[in-house]
Amino acid sequence: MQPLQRVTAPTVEVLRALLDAGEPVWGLRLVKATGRPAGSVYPILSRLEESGWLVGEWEADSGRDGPRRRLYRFTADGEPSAREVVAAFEARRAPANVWSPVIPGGAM
Amino acid sequence: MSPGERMIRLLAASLPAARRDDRLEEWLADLEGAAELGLSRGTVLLGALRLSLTENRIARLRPRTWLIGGGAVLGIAVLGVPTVAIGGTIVDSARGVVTVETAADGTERTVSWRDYPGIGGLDPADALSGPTAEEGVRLGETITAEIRAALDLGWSREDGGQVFFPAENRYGGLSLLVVVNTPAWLSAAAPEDADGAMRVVQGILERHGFTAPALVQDDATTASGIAEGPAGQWLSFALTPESLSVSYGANALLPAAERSEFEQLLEPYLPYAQPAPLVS
Repeated sequence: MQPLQRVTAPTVEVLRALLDAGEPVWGLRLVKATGRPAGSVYPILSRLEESGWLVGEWEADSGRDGPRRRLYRFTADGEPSAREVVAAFEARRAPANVWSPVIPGGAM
Repeated sequence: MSPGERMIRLLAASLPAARRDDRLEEWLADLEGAAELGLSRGTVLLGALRLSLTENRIARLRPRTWLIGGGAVLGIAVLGVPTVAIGGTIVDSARGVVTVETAADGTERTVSWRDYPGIGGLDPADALSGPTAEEGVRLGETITAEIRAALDLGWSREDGGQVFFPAENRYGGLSLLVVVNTPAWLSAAAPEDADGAMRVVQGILERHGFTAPALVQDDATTASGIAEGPAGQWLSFALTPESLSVSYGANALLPAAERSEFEQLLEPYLPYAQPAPLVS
């Protein structure tokens, strides 16, 4: 699995949506869940798949006629890495606690 | 077959064989299921268009004007081709495409094209004489700024990220040329006069040497399409009842910093005619 070259907000949103689902998710449902345009989500899914974070697989036994939906799930290495990336991204975006005491020397 | 399905099939056909069938079925299923999620079919079309362009599969190849240098090359035969295709990327553990070149004195030598810095099917002189990748980005910024200034629709931009994307050289390696794909602009509202808005867009594109936008009307309210620039640039757009989105990119441009290395890597290949690309 290759590391992500750059972690953007849309990428984190896709990863988070997949983590929240806890099961393979239809690619278009990720477009809906993130509120991002498919023009953003499709390339993200493609990059995550090519980098070994995700695997695409066909929906089985849907009972529908016509083309099958493509579902995405994490690889074994992808899921823990995604949790780390999402947590790190959210930590960076969390507002600083302005009431935290400043400890001289920084020792904790 | 609906216009949207026809466009999906066209886009899928532009992909390399290794991923063509999967993408086609995925996009058709998304097109069919969009309404179920309350999404427009135009969203799916724009996504498919964007991914196709990102992957550099829809490039309109300029006519090859490659000349055989010095009359030294008498014959070419493709000896070896990459043996594995993974995820649309041709992978070769050895030398990629290999040709046998026969000189005027009858001696033969093999040439590995894996490290060819251009892209098979493109004239490298075009890359050297055309805009740099940075100039390509600037042109896109100019065009989209003109469109936003002309159409007061409350524009916002999708989050940025990678702008330059690597491109395969079609001989089993990576090119030094890159694909430019800039973040899309999305209007907060659709233009009241959609036809008038598209005429404005067309006028701006024509001033920059672009073709007239090839518009695909997906249904009564949704349309999407693409216009091509004079040097591998493209502008894609989607018009829905809610918004107009505009995305700019360019194929096969050379970053300014890579020019020297490009010329250096190209030099050994100059005496030879390009073999047929592995993917088109």
